[in-house]
Amino acid sequence: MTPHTPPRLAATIVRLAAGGNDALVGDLEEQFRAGRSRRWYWSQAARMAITRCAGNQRLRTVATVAAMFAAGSSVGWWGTSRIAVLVLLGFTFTSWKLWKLHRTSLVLLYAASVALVLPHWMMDTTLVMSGGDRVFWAIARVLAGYGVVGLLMVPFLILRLGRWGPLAERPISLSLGR
Amino acid sequence: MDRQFLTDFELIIMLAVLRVGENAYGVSVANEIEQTGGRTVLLAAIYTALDRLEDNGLVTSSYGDPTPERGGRAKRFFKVTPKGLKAVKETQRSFVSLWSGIPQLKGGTA
Repeated sequence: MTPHTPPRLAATIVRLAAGGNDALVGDLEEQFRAGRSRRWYWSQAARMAITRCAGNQRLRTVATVAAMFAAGSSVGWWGTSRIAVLVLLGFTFTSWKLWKLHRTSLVLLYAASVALVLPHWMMDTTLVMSGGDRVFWAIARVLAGYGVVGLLMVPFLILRLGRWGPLAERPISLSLGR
Repeated sequence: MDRQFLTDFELIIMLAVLRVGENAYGVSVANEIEQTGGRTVLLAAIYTALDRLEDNGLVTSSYGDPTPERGGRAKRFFKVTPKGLKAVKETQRSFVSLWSGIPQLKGGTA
């Protein structure tokens, strides 16, 4: 790669996020070749990708469902893996701040997580299990996590999924003036 | 759609396009906003706003020739239409009316 060529991965992101707007892709390349840094190009690519994803109702819905599954798994594993706690917290924070997903759902997800985690945590401290039992309980926790979180989320997903749901949030506009 | 007023970002873009003149395309508009307006903007945001303005008939666009320094891609030049110019003037009038008669804003800088 020569110094005058934009970073390949960032250029691919720009092309995808530009959605066929060749003039925009050309503008970014022109600015890069005129001396803008790789960091600047990456920043433009990342912001374009985030804004495009956040403004896309379908992508936001997919991300919400993915967050649910991730949270379900995390809740199940919480008793055995503390890393899952960080994943859950990170995912929720990112969803809240960047993706602006369905916030009511995320609050309930948190509540469900706490409600599920406490008994597991207590059980971990009181029971001494053998290797086989640990695997069984780990699988049971994952399934329980999916089940409980999924059930709690159903009414809210019905309300919030789709553009015309009564509580559906409006997509974010690229314009700073709106 | 008959639009009387522009949002602040649309107004900034329209003024930048007018200031740049014949050579108004994404980069030159962004540079004008940065140099004159003192704020950095995302190029994609400029195009989103310009697309919306074009849909409303406030600007028109045309493509130039592809150039090697742009990876063989053409520039898209923008021009403010008479309807766009009217919208800028109306927005200015609206702002000036809002500005006038505010005692806190009189007598030098804050």
